[in-house]
Amino acid sequence: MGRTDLLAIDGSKHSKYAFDWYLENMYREGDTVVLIHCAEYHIDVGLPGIAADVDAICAAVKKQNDDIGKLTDDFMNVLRQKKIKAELLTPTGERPGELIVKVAKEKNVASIILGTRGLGTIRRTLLGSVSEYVVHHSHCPVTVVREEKQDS
Amino acid sequence: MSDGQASPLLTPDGAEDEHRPVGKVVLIAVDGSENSFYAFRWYLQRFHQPGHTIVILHCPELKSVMKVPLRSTDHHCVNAMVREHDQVVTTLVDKIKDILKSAKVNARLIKQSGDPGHVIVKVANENKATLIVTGSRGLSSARRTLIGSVSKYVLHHAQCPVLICRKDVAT
Repeated sequence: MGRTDLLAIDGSKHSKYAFDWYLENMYREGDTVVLIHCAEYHIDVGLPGIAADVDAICAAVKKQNDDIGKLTDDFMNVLRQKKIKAELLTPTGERPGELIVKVAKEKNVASIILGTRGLGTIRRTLLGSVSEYVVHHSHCPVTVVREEKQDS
Repeated sequence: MSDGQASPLLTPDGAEDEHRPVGKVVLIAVDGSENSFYAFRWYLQRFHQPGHTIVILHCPELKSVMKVPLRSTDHHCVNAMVREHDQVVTTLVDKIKDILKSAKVNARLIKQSGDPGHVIVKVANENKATLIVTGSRGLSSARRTLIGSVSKYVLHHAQCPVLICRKDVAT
């Protein structure tokens, strides 16, 4: 009788590390993995005030979609190869932290696993904003996967 | 992991080299609170695998015991509070030992004094822990925050993954 775990990924090496760590240390035979990708898009629309290049924006969005598709495919393939029951969700519309907490509740997962930070560039905090939010608002146990200290 | 062994190793203070745990070390921080007990049970049910070595770290924080300003010179009063606190913690640790025994799981029990956050991180580093398990809050009576100060400290300063186990949220 396996449990369901929610893994949040975003394309950063931190979430990849968390994913690998989960498989190696936490996954047990029979568990189900719900993989969620709800990272915000990062699209550079140029300087405000200047008429935005609609074509460029559309192309950028499409590229992001393709990149996300490829990323999630890679993860799902790993799970498939290991014959792990998995489900992929790519919701958008709200902030990632809120989405993760909401989905975890809806799916009634046993726990949430995520990295310490993602693709964000701000490095002043010890914990990224999404991870921080999820830890504070989750209804279930949260594992924050911190990599071993490296020279950075 | 034979069940014929004596009760789990009890080291009075800190870990000695010859007893260094092998395998993947999971450090479970307990403080006598129901939250940390829940975290321990959750770990055992949901996470524990034969390859994991459990280290239970008990780091009592006497600050939370002193509910009255320490202007009281009444030794009896202070002693009573400390004793009551010790009793709560001992009861919980005994419960944990019983569960481990009936689950036939071996674990080390470490008791260390000091600032709990720092101690937890230090012991985790010393034992090269794979994971730290902690409740979301402990015995402190402050309820304004969603996560206690010790758990927060550990979350930010640990050098390994941290599992924060919430109990006080309605499912």
